[in-house]
Amino acid sequence: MSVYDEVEIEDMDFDSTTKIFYYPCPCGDRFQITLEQIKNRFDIAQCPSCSLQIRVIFDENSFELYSKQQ
Amino acid sequence: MQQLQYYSCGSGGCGLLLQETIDDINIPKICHKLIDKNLNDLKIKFSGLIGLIKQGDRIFLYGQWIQIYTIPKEIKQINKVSKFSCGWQHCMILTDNGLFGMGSNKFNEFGHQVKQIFEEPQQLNFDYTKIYDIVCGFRQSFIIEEKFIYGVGQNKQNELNIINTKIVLEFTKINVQECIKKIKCGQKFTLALSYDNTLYGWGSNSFGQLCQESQFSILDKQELMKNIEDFDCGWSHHSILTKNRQVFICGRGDLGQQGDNKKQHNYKYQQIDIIATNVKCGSESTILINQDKQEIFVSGWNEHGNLGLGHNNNVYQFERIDKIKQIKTKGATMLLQK
Repeated sequence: MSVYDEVEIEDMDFDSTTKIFYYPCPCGDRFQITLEQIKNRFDIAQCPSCSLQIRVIFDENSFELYSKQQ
Repeated sequence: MQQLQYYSCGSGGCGLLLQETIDDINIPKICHKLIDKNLNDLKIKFSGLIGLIKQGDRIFLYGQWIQIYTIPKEIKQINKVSKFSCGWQHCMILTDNGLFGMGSNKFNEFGHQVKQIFEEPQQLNFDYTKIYDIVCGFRQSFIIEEKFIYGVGQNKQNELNIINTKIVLEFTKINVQECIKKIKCGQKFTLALSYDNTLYGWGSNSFGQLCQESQFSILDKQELMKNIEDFDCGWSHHSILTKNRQVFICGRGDLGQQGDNKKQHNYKYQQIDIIATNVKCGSESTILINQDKQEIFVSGWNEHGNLGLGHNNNVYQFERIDKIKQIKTKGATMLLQK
């Protein structure tokens, strides 16, 4: 799959209320991926406004780390 | 004398088109929100997300802050504005009374102690009386004084040219000996122009955006080109215009940013055979301006119609648009003056 870029999960903006990670898209909207998707080892974040996708880089500890955040 | 009018096109979702709609527009349309304003008195700056309009010494915000503002709203806490700059999701405003930051500080963008998004301007702790210029980047801010430059914010790819730290918490002097007059920022790299018109760069070179063939990151300031007239940064490419009117582009090219019909990244400057008086970059597009002929040449990512050609297909080789006097572009939005 062709992705626009690769982004480390620590560079994403995590909303602990909605459990969604965000990263700026060059169109002005934000790529997004849920904590549940990270748990399931899904690593593609989609921009809701355009065709671009990024690959999110994370490791086996990421889900546990972010699931503790309130 | 006929008054200039602003037109906009591109991504409308953030409210940056200054139109009554937040839909994308691929044919430049007159900016309804600026009709009846004295445009000679306006100064407009925007990034891919937020915008500011200075009218006299008052300042207005528009675009995607915590909420979307399609109608410019005055920032009433601030007046006597002298300079301002927009980063991706934050801004800095210099007034006769101090330096202020506003918007996102989640990644320490303007060095406030609290990591959150601010809807109200926050006064920043810096001696504002010596500031020559202020510049906001993707997740960084810069202050230019007569002899020194200072930076704060994210530094993971050495965007601030400050060693051994991923994030710079307060404005810190940057290790550059030359006197710098202008700074512009890509997504993860920075370009600085000295008073002798030499261009320097530092930060990420993952797509060749710093014109280096074999290095992923540039961890110390690198001289890129002398004799620079104008330059601008996209997210992962940049364009320059030399004093003898040669145009060069380097960096990412898969979406048409290089305008050479090759869809390849360029790790060295590639000369473009177009006469220009100014160069501009959207996040993934390049626009060359010839003010003498009132024409512009556009190439690159066009999914939101941001190149103003009346369609949404990417453009891989420069196409000309006539009767344009000047443009501003950032992100996937373009503001044109006819």
